[in-house]
Amino acid sequence: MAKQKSGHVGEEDTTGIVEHGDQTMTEYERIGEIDPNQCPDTESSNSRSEESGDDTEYEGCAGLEHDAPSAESDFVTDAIHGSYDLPSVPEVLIGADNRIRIRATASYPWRAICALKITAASGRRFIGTGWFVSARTVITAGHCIFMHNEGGWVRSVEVIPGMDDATRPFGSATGTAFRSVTGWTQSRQRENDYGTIILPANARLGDRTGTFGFANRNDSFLRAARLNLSGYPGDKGGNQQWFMAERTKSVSSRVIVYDIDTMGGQSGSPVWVLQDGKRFAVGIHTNGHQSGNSATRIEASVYNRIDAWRALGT
Amino acid sequence: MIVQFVDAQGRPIVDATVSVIESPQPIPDLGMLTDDAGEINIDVTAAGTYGFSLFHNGQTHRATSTIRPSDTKVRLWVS
Repeated sequence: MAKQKSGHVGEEDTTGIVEHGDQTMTEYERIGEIDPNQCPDTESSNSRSEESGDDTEYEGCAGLEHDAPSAESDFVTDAIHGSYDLPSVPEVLIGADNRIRIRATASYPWRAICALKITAASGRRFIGTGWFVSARTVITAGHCIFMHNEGGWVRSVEVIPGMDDATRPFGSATGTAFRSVTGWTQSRQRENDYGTIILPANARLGDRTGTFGFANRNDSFLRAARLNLSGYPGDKGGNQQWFMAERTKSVSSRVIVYDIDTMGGQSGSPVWVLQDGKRFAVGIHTNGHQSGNSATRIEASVYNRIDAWRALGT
Repeated sequence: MIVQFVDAQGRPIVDATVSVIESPQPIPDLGMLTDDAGEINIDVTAAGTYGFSLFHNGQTHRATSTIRPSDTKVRLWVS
């Protein structure tokens, strides 16, 4: 079986092959021939395919990592949620709220993170978070684009990179072409909760924002990793980007658990590591719970799927 | 299951952003906007205490309620 190095540097228009040495990159074997009907990683889409775009070369964003605020590498602790009996009372945080508001949302990497305004097939409205991996490909949680209790594929998603209250430094675009995997759309498996929005051909916002890399890292790397997460939490109104970093709490084959504080609206946020000046998403934030918040881990099959979606939006 | 948010006069709180901040089991970290009836629809698969954060008019409120899967609608008053 063929093997390849797993890790895509988002700031460059590369083949997706990265050579950083075995101590930091995970080798994996390609998945063999599998009946797609039996495989939860089989792609699922809403069949609203988009043009692949014009021939404009993606110029990449080399060097933009230097724009990242130093807060990213700070080690901060978890906030504690309070809960109160009815009637509800204005928010009171117990203990320290260590989330950091990102105000420089026009700078990389924050500008590659997008507020999502979602309209479900049922007409109900939701908020989430996504992140660019190519000019028109926005990665997010599967439940941000396919809602089992709201009619399936969502009607539309407005993608707003680097949103900061009323400020939209890169404008916005509305996506109606979505992809996920059958493990989510048909089986609703938590470990397959991921998907993508392919923006229209004339909406190459990722060319201006830059993109995240993504990588398949091994267990030992992830267990020792300091994870970064930034998105658009609903308790702040959903129009401000908030960031927090923490070490990994636990890792399983398809899920990463951490004590990074998150709120509704941060589904789809990138969970990334900063390594050698490059940012690699290793997970897609999906779930919240008092015992630990969690991400769909970018393991081999997820990596391959994201890489294919990345190519669709170049 | 429907959760409705109303003010002290019982009027629906429309266009508020709601997050579930406490639940018996992990839940999707989506934010939900209340509709014209002040309602959201959440997937309740386990009985227990559910906590909600509601952002409206620049202020965040929190509330908890004990909910069972057999419940069809819960109303929460926001003071």
